[in-house]
Amino acid sequence: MNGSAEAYRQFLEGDDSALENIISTYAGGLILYLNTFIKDIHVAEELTEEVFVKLVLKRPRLLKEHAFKTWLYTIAGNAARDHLRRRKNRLISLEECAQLADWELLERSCIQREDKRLLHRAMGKLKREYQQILWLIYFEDFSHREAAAALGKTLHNTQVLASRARKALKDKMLEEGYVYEEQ
Amino acid sequence: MKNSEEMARSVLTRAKEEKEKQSRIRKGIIGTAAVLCVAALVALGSAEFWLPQSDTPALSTDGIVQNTSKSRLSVFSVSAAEYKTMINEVNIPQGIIRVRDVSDNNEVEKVFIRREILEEGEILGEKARFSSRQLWEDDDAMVMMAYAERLMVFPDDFEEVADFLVTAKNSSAFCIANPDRNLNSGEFERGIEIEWYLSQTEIDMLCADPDTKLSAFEDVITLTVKFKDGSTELVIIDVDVDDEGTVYMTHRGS
Repeated sequence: MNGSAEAYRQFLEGDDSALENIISTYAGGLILYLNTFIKDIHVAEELTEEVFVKLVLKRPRLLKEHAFKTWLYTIAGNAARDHLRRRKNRLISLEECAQLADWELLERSCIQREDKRLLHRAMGKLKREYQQILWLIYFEDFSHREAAAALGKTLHNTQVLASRARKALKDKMLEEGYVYEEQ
Repeated sequence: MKNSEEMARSVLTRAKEEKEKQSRIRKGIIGTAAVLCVAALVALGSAEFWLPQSDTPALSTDGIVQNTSKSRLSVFSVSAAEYKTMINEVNIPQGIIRVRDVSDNNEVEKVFIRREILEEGEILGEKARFSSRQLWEDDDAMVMMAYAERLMVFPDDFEEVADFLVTAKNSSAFCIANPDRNLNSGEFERGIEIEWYLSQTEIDMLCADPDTKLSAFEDVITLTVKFKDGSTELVIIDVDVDDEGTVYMTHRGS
């Protein structure tokens, strides 16, 4: 059992201080993932907080690391879709520069490798659903089955979506002059 | 942006406030939801419906959900214990349970419930409701499609309850307004998210219909839908096929 799973076990046993470890492990990734839906890093942060509030309230008995992570991302996706449904018009933020700085800071802290950050930025130019599937697969190491659960899609559709997203990402990177190496 | 310590503190505070709020509204919400449900059903006009008492067990002793009539819209409740029965004792594959019509004891309906939502329900330990609806092949042969809305995940969220009812109402209105299930002749209220699921048989029928010309193998289809104000609009519908071969069509907006 790794550190975050152990922290979650402690949390389930009533140790609220373990929550900080869990948040430290997952919050950054969740904010970046939610930002692919919301396009507002501050709202994404608020929704991430909501996800953890639900975790505290529901305390799902999911001891396996991947089940726990899938649960978090599923709840995050639901929260994002609810938010989008309720937000009728996109608000024009006066703080976009500050948002960009926060986003870059968060990206730098969550994604250590420069080449991965370039990949993440190229992903940002794709359709939202492509960004979401690529984030789960490339950055959170989700299997297709886990990504399907988090996105609320079938395995087949997830596989198709991932394939199209990878192709779109490749096209985008070639278009922008990156040298693309086939894996 | 908050650091982990700040966020943890904020999360615990908000969770505590939320618990207090939930305990205040818990008793009231079920009654309110029931009233809203009946109102939605009544609004369907000619629809017949079956609404059991909340204390009525939805599961029979052999673990098969029984419906008391061939109704057009069924809403029933299951308890946390019944969830466990469904998951652990009945061992429902892929979250599918069969519904038996007690009037002639024929298995005529299937209820599709997503397993992960069942697990959420178990975690909650709360009563949860399932909404089901039926689409007609003809008067006798029915295909019943049911779906567990996210209402079951967060049953204390009043807005979720309201959304669920609106969705259910429109789905059923769609069925009733479209006995021949011609999507092009559907009439909908504007501004309401519409979600409905169709069986593979129905998709096959739609695919064969020269007016709709659907392809079940497409991820997205477009349809012209007529609204109650007489206008028409091109809508985009996501098509999704699950492991059981059931095709889900979800309206994603125009």
